[in-house]
Amino acid sequence: MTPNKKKTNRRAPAAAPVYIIDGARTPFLKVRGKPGPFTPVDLAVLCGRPLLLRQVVPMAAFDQVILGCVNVLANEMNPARIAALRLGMGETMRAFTVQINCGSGMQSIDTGWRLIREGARDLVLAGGTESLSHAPLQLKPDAVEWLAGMRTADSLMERAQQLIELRADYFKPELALRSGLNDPVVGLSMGETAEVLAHLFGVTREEADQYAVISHKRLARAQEEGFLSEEVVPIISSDGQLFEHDDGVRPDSSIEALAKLEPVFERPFGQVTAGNSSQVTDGASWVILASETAVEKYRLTPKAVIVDSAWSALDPAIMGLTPVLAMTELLQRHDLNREDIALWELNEAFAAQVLSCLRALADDDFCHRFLDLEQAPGAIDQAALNVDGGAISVGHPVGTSGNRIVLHLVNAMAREKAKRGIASECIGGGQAGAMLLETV
Amino acid sequence: MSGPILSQLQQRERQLGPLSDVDSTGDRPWTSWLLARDDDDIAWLLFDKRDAAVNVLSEAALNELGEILDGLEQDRPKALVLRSAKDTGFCVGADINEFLEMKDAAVVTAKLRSAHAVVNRLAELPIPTVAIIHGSCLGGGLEVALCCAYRLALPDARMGLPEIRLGLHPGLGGTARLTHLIDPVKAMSLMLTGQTLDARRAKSAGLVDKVIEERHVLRAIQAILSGDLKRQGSGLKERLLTTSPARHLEARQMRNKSAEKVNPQHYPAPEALITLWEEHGDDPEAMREAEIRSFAELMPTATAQNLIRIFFLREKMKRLTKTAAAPVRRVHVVGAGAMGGDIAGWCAYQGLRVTLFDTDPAMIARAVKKTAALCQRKHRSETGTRDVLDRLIPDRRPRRSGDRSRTGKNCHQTGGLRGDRAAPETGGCSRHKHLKHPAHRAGEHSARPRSFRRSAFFQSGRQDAAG
Repeated sequence: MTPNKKKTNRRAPAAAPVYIIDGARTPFLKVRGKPGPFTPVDLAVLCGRPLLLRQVVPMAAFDQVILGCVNVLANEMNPARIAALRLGMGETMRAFTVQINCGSGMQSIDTGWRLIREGARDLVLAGGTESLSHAPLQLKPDAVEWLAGMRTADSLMERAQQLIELRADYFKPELALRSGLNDPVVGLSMGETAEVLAHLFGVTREEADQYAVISHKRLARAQEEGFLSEEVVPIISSDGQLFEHDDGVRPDSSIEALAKLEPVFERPFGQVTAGNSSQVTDGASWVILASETAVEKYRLTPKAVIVDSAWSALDPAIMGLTPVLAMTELLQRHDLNREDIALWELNEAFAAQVLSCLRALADDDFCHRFLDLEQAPGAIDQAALNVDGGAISVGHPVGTSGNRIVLHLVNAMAREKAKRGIASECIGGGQAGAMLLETV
Repeated sequence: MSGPILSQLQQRERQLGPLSDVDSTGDRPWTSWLLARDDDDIAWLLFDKRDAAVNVLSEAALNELGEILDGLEQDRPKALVLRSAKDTGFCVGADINEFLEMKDAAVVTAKLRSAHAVVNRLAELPIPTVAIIHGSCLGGGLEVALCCAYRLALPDARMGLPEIRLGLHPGLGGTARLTHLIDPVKAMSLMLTGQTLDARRAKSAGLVDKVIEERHVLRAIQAILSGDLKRQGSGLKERLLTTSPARHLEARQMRNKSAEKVNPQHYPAPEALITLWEEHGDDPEAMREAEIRSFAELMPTATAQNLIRIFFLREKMKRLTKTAAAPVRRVHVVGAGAMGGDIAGWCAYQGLRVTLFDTDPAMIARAVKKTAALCQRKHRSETGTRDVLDRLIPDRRPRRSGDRSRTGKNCHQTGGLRGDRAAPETGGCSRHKHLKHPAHRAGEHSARPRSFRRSAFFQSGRQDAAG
């Protein structure tokens, strides 16, 4: 009995259809060392306004807002509700925020889908937002202690004593982003978990760099061909700057250029570099989910139907491998083969991590022992995988990415006239989500 | 933690070069070693004692190493990588069984001479030699590793020269090689205390050149060959310390410190080691020669022979605890007093999941505090301490018979009763280390289910410190 088998729900969910009507995202903006122009809620609002504007459904018809966000700012607690109010969706709009790290944006869709399926809701705005450039700076625990001591010091003597104990490094803050990307249970950073996978599945630096180059070329092509014109809505900052495109793309990216980069997580012998990892970016994404009733009532044209979702978990040290579990669970549950899925979105947290997933899918021994499969499904054909680039070129605003890959899969399926698609992402902490979509 | 998928995948992990797929149980020319060359003409020498869980450096293993060096000297590879194929580590040291027969100084000298001749040839190989060290690397094992030009340690490596605990000092050139590799005062203190260093401390002491992850072994070897990885060299301070006046001064301090712990009359090894360095600390070759004589004199002494006997008794005790019974994973402790609290804390420290019952929550709170202090004393990291405390679960539910959650599979129940409450016939076992002792597998032979064991402790008048 494989460890994950008992958690597999073998029953396919009942067939009350839930539709994806539309969706949009902001351009993903590369973090350039200082807070960007937008907070998480700013991004969600700037993304939601044009999306809601182009709907035939009135805003008041929505009955739920769900937003994924990992790094919530102290002055924007429950960003879902603040975004809903700022979007003008009215004081009666229910809104809650979900957090499952890199899966947050997909979790919001999953939760909305389940609410609609059980008949509790009809129209849900489900999104993800993240402003990694705004991830807070924190004081070191020692510095917090010192400040508390200062506050409770009564006499002049006590205060003087406390002042003597002041150390210069108390003023050096810790990046919440950095600690957030470090797994507290296994003590590895996300990049290190990719190093572990690269070793276990024999992915070389050259293969990872090659993959990264393809990601950039594909996004550059998609931008050029206008594949993203519906999906990406331009946003404007208060100082009048216009942002129209994902700005981390490097159309001239090459193996030679990437080969020059130093490993960032495990110096000097590692292979995961900034070039073959996802980019740290700000961005938001929303999709609109509707029930059959809502579709009929407002005469909506659905783009896709959510067939099913799966969530899996394993050791945090190999978190990047978990999509293999979630994706194969979907295939098994619906008696599908790899070839039945025309398009795949597998979030590119790290090139080595994506390639390890592909190796595991083609590894008979692995699939037999751990997934209880007679035969390995086989590696996903690169021509069907992340056809318009992925997080390596687009960026990975953690709370947003799960939403973006579902949104993009819907659009890519429509363009390629594909019947079925799966979107999946690995989740820091050792989990993964996967969602199976069909065109209507 | 390590999930089933990861732990099985990790079996793919160990980097053994061209020997990755070799069946070590098949035909092989040497009983303790495997040798092969990879495509880059790097020779991989695996220490892999046949049909054993750990590597020991026996006389036979050394003789085989000599034969292997014959071949390497004649047909020189580009480099030599030396590592162990065992999960347990590099090598736990000399075969102490052989020490039992060595009661004649002349015989010891002769054996040491030929052993030295072998490892000296390893040290003199004119190619880059790299020892890759994981797990235990002790005594003679470390002395062999010290003959390599480079030492790379994996994070789980533990290194030391614990011979002093057997009333001896290193005898395979270690006294000379270690004092010339790192700060000689640090080296002497390591040998005088028999202390082992983890990988991080070994690196900062200069004992290893770099701490690497298993996944970086190949690239680290490449870095050595391309000259990108620099050796730890000794600095000016170390060179100054080897001057004769400095040695006399340091030796006097060492003598004083050592005399605080042991009486040199009954325990001659520290004095012998200090003299060795004081007299020959500036000349490695002379020091190695003197080391042979000094070691040969210590070996037949009553102190060494008795300590060796105790070593074997301790090994026997450890073996006795190995039974076919399923290992205990959970422990329920009744009573969070001095005894129960310490038992609970020690079990949690050892990786068991512990429920600790007491009617008085303040007693449980005290046990938690003591366990946190134990972790700190043992230099557990912040996360390590957190994990230990996560496993120590206060349990204030009133006890009911047949409670499955506390008598479930692989659960060991133990009571740390205070003296006044203990029944005299429960027996007085007051050293927590005895948890490993078979006497505490009470219940194993009783009519109770095999998966549940129970034992009782009570505190006698004397109080022992935990662990």
